[in-house]
Amino acid sequence: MKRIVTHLSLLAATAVIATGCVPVRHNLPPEQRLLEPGPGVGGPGPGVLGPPSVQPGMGGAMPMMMGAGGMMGAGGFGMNGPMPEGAIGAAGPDVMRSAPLMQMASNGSNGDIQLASCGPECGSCGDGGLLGIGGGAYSNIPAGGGVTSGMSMMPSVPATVQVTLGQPEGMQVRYDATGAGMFDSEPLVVPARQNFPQGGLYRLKLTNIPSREGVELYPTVELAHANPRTGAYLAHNSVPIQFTPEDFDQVLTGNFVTKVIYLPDPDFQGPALAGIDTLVSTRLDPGIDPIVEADRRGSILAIIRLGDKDIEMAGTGQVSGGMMGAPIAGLPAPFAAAMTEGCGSCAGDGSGCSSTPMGLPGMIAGVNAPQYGMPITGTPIGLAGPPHIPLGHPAGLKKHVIKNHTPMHIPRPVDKVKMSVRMQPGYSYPNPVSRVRITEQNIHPGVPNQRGLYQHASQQVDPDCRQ
Amino acid sequence: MTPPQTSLLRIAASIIMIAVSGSLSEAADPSLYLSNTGQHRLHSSDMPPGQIGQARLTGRGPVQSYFQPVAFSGPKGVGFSMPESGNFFGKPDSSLQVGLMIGGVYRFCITGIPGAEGAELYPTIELIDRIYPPPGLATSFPIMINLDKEDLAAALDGRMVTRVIYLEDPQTAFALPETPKTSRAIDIAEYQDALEVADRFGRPVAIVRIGSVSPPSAEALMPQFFFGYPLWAPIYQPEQPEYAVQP
Repeated sequence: MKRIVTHLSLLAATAVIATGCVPVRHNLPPEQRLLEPGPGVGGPGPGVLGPPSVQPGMGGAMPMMMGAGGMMGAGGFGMNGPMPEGAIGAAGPDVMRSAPLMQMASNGSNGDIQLASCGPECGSCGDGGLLGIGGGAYSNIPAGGGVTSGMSMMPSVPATVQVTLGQPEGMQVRYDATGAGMFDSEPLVVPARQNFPQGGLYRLKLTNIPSREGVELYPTVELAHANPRTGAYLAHNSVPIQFTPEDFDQVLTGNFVTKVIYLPDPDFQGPALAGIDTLVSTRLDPGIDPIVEADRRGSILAIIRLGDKDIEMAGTGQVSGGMMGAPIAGLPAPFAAAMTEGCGSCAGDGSGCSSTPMGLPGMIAGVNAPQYGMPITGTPIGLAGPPHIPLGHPAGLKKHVIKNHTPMHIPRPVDKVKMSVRMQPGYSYPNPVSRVRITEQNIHPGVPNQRGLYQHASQQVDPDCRQ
Repeated sequence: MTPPQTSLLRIAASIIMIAVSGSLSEAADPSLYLSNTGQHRLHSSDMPPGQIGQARLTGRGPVQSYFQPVAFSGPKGVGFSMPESGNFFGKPDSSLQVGLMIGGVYRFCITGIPGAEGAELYPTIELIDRIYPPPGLATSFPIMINLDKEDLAAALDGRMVTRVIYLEDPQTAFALPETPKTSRAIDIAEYQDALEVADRFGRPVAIVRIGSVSPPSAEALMPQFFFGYPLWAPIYQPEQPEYAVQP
């Protein structure tokens, strides 16, 4: 019997060790959490809603309605008066709501802080708006940079790309401002800059090319939509477009030149290189598509196609059709949409956008994909037979059986999910104090029947020392 | 051995087998799915301006509606100005100090660049976090934005310069005061992510992107250029007496 008990004890000990049911040494939470009033929790936990956020349109619409002086003084800061010292570290949401728009006082003393903003149309235009402080639910900054239109009823402004025409100097560049093939813009003398709406295909007219008198070329510039990879670059830099003498030589000899300007991915960007890169079709090996190669190396910003076709020649048939209006006055008008993926942050007028609604995935059942549940493979019963069947015969096929032998294991969805969470090491608090025993012992009990000497106030010392 | 004892041993053995099997069937280690660097980063400094700051607003902490003091400095002669009314920039100030909100993208102007007279740059600054100075001393401990000549020259050459300003890790920081003169910048390679490097050294608080873009001529594009005119608060420095000695 003793052996059995010994064996069982050993087995139990082995089982305890194997299952890990040994005394666990816990450690305390950090000191900061112990100082919090809650049980080791600082601030609201997950699932606790924060304070209500300001609606997106509130910041921009309120100044417009209330005028310059109609401030809601919820924050206690006057419009023209300086904010109290230290307020910059404690400005709350009320300050944000009551922010003035246009005021700048003269120099003040230290700590004079006034809220400033923004442009003249800040309160009136729907595109401006103020900073969205509502968190992730609202952001007026799209993926491609810039701002989105806050009010759908207002005319939207497309996101633009700034293009720098760098070389050759002295060349004049015109673009379509009002209609297709008009080239009625003010001539840009290189070097020059011009903003183009994103996601458009633009026709340019090059004249006064140095050392090539009388030559007029009509290249096209296809500008891609901004994406998360190129948004930061396009918001801060321009896309340089340059034409070299070699390009003109290639074109005038009958060749077709394609230049692709792209933002290289980090893998294709050496330490010595910086910024963007350009691929030219005439410098690549035969058979290599510069667009495909640039797309493999990074994100395409612009594609320039240059040939020797005279667009303005009578009978060319290029001037009519397909022309899209300029989004706003002064900007070039594209004649087609760019063939780039995504919609970027373009305008809501549909120019240059795909048919897929914003914020939705590319394939939608019933929209640009077959309806859910609808088979896309039919049986030949009732369908017109192949041409080798003699005409006039009735349909002979009565039965068409397709057996699917594909092994499938598609489990049914679960009704409930149970998750077990275990933190290792866990939390272990000391036991709360339930009993206190205080023992006070005075080594020097003091002067009997009087206050202690050290409790006496200072007294004037008798000069005769009689006391 | 009697039959009851045998059955008892069998039960004990089965308990051990169950316990051992339970201890061996552990879940997969999450580190198996991590990258070589040990983590997957959600953000990078190449993201469009405003996205990282907006993501920070969804996090915890008193970051909403807080005006974080920011102080600009640069080479001698360089002036900084913020947009004011009428789409124009204010008077350039060599030691501009303003209060900016987290999540906003602010376009400011740099003038008086040494060696490039007449040239202007329009960088942006995006606050992605705040700092926590002692109460009442927020303006005494601003986020220092110090731009050097190399940054401005590279931007004028058409390159894009991204500066990530971070708060040093107190465990590894040097116990030296950080001034514009002692400010040091870490140059990284093009294929490195500045935000990741800054995250390694401390806590990133701001991103400055400098390019060569110029303001658009069309008035309708101005809100886009200024990123929606986010609010900012000017901070005025105390007037220095004439006899004050500049450090």
